[in-house]
Amino acid sequence: MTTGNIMRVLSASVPGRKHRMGGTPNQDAIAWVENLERQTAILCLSDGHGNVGGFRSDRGSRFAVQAALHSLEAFIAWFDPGVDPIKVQDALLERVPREIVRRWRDAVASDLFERPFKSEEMSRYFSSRVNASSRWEAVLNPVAAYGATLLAVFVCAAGWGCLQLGDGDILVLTGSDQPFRPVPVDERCRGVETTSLCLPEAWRDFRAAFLPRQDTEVRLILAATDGYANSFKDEAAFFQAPRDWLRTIRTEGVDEVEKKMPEWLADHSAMSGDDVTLGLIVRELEDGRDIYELNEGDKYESGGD
Amino acid sequence: MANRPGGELAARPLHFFFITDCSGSMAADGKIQALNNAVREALPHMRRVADENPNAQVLLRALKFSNGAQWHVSQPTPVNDFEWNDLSADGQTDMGRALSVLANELKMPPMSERALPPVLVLISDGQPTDDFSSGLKNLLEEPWGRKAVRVAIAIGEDANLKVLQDFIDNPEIRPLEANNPEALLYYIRWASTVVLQKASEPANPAGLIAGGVVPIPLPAHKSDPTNDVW
Repeated sequence: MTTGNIMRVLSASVPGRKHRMGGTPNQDAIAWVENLERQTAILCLSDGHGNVGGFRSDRGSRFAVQAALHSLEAFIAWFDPGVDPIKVQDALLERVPREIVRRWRDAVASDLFERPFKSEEMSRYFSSRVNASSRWEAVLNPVAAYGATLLAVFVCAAGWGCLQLGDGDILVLTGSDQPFRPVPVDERCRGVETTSLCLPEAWRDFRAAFLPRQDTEVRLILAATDGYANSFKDEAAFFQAPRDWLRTIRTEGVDEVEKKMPEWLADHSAMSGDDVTLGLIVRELEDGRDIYELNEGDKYESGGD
Repeated sequence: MANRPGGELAARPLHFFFITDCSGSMAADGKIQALNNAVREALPHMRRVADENPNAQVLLRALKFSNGAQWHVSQPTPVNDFEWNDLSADGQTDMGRALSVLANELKMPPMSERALPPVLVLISDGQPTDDFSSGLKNLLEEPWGRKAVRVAIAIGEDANLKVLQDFIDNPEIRPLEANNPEALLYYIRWASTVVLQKASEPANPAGLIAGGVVPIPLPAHKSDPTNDVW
């Protein structure tokens, strides 16, 4: 029996120190929809590269979350709860990334048409490049100016899933109380490298996961741009976060936690120096209880499907 | 009020390495002493940059090479605690060995995944006398070796610019040619401040498309050739 489960989305985004001091925009973007009636929630985050070549990545990240939101809304509407989960996962990995990239590139092309590169943008870019061939990059591949990563998670009647391109983190908390990464870490996304929407054939670099609801009920999904995890002392400190968030939401209430999120994220941003964007999808019962007992993490309460 | 969710926060470590040539030729014309003076003079400026970038925990080490390679400062030392003891010069130029020793330190562990890209500053006045290629291969095979910000300073006209360029492995960055003490001072200070500053910044991914290295601005120094002594 799952009737009565509701999905809540909490989110906040704070600019990094460099952007605050320089008066430049937060390069992260976040967008989400929650549909209480259909028990669905979709949450999308993007981290614009913000490097010299990515001089329009604040716009690129905004286009990314909108592209992902629309693509996933259409995807969720396409399958019903009874569909073979393998087929869902295949479609999630094969179909949705192409759709996202197509929408994102369309948005970038429209933006370039309406707002061609300004001379000051180009001169700043050229002055940072030493040799002639690298100076041509912005001319030959203007899409790179909008480069951004993407994290997208969703919960629906049939199950839950996620997509990831580039760095950032997704952690999932189910009944086991041990958060886990639903998609593997891409070894290319360490240090200063990341895969990106601006790369050729970017859809090939997406990672995806889908789990049907009868296999595992999700309690909380945490998605964050890399500035969040980078602020923790180590992986263990970071992995403590999902359960802490859930406990705090249960004790303080969703609205109170959402009010405090920017202040807490400011601590993370101060430590990592980066823009920090965090989104949470929390599943709870209509009376505000978790679907599992908080203090006895393995006890299943809702009765399942 | 509830506590902030999650565990302890900490700045990301930024490992900075001086890799210095201590071969016999460095004893000539006051090169080694100019190097000692330049590093010592750069330290207060490094501390200032580190203070201005609280999101990075700057940790310094120094590796010297002549006959083999030895740590001059072996432990990652916070910049505020780092002291420079004078180096002396004697022996061969085992630069390849130094890069292999460095490669070992850039493995994970001891390096952590959440580190900022390390900064490697190689300073040399000569030709490698050992297997430089193997050392460089070892270094670039390590993920943190590949992603490190690599800067090279050539002291005098006998320095092998080709091997220093191979070390940098980035056509955007050329070896810096220091032909007098003033230029050496300038470049070491530049590497210790401007490069450190760029490497301290939170990830601004260069992206796979750009080779994944931290972009650094070029030094503005214009050396007066009439002052050249090396």
